[in-house]
Amino acid sequence: MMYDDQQFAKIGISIYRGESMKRKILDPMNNQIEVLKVPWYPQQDVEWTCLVNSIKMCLEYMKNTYDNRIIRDIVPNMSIDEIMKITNTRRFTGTVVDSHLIKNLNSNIEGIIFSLEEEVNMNKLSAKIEKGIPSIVLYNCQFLKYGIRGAGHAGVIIGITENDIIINNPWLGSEYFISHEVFAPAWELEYNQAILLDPSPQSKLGQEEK
Amino acid sequence: MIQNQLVDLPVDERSAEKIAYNWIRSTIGNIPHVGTPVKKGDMWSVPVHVNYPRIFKDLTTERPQKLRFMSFKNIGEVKIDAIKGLIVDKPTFYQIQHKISENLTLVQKTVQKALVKVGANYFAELPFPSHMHTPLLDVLSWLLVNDRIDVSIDFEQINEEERKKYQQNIELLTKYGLVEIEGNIITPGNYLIEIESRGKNYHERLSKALSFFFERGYEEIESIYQVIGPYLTLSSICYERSFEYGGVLPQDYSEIESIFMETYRVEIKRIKLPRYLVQLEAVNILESKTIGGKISWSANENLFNKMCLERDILEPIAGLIEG
Repeated sequence: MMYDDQQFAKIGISIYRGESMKRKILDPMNNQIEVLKVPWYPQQDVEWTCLVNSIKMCLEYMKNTYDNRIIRDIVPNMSIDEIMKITNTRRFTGTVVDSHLIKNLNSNIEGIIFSLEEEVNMNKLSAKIEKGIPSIVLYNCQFLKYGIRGAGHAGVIIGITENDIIINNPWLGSEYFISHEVFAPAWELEYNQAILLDPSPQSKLGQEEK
Repeated sequence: MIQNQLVDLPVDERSAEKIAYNWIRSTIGNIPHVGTPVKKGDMWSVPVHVNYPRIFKDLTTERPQKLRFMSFKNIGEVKIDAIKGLIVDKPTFYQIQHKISENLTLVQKTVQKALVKVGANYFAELPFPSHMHTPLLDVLSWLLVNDRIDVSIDFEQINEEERKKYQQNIELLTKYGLVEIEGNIITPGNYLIEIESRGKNYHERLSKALSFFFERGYEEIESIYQVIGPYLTLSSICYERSFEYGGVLPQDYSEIESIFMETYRVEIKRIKLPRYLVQLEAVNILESKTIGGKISWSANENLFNKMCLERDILEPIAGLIEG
């Protein structure tokens, strides 16, 4: 297929705006919305690896879809087993979520600076989405589904609209819509925690070695 | 004094919960959660609970279909000094992990007991060469063929360890009236005599005796496991998942294989797995279906429904499944 100059310019502009990182889907009211093209990794056979799968989704996206080539080049390809190892994820009990987790992620994964924050608000997550960066939220999925406090659960925020947040949920499926009213108390039980990603072209591993 | 008062502010309920929460998340993992703190004197006691997730997928779409949680309450306790806000006592990671494992085993064994009770006839129909080596079958067969065992003579040539195994199984069979002991002499018990009179041939008599033992002796699940080990493990994977789901749920082969191999961890079992499935289908404990172009395995609906009616046996785990 041949493109004329004008078409090339359009493609260029859309890539520049990060539109190649997003795709259009329909919300529950049949409105067209945009979400990040983050692949979904289910965890049906192993129940305690939601955070591992969420990290995997983010890495795959940053490696293959994120619009900065330098970042794409340096973000590593990591298997679920490798991520389990660096996150100290253990049978039945899941992943330890604290500063050590973040330290381990930062010292093993190039191209992204991870941070764990409490009391994160939707504006912060929206700003990330605007920049084409997904975030991992930690919330109480059983409370969300059944109103009973249960395990802490991780999922990847791929879109936020006025009414809903859209999560790639390792337990429940991809592009999972949750209204803000339903999500808020489930998130609050986990102190509104999120693992935020910041693309960083600087080599962290090289710096540590020095 | 003023400084002390400033430092030693009493810890309120929410703060106690947060301290315990942080400890769980930073030491144990994301699966356990905090319960409601209870104040006991100068101490907050925060229970640690686990609502263990089970995800059920639709085999046609390969998408998650249902999420349920098994509730394991009070698997640990975090004690916090209500004045200083310091943790003074807490379980270890391994204690929590062990408790979760223990509860999951309880669910598995309870389902197995109910399944063995209602499926006794079906399990007893499995071909005998498929049973693992077991003294239980040896003793029953011997008595059916030779009428009696004289321990002092017949067990004389076998080693101490083997003799012990036979003795244990004889005691077990005695408990359920299949065998009688009089000094060194073992003879058929009343029930075995009754069964003997109804069987056409030795094979049928042995099968009926085994069925009787499974039905009455379901509480001896470890001994029954010695007889039908991999068959029990495999069938209980399908029946347990269905029980947790609340209806017969087909399982795909890879899912069954991954759970089965967690139990056995020896490669030879991976090769034997299809044969076990075929044999379980032959005796109507499992059914195969093709869903979305893939073979899936599920519980026999009739047997599953009967199993769910065994409320007394299932009682210990009845309240565990939420959602």
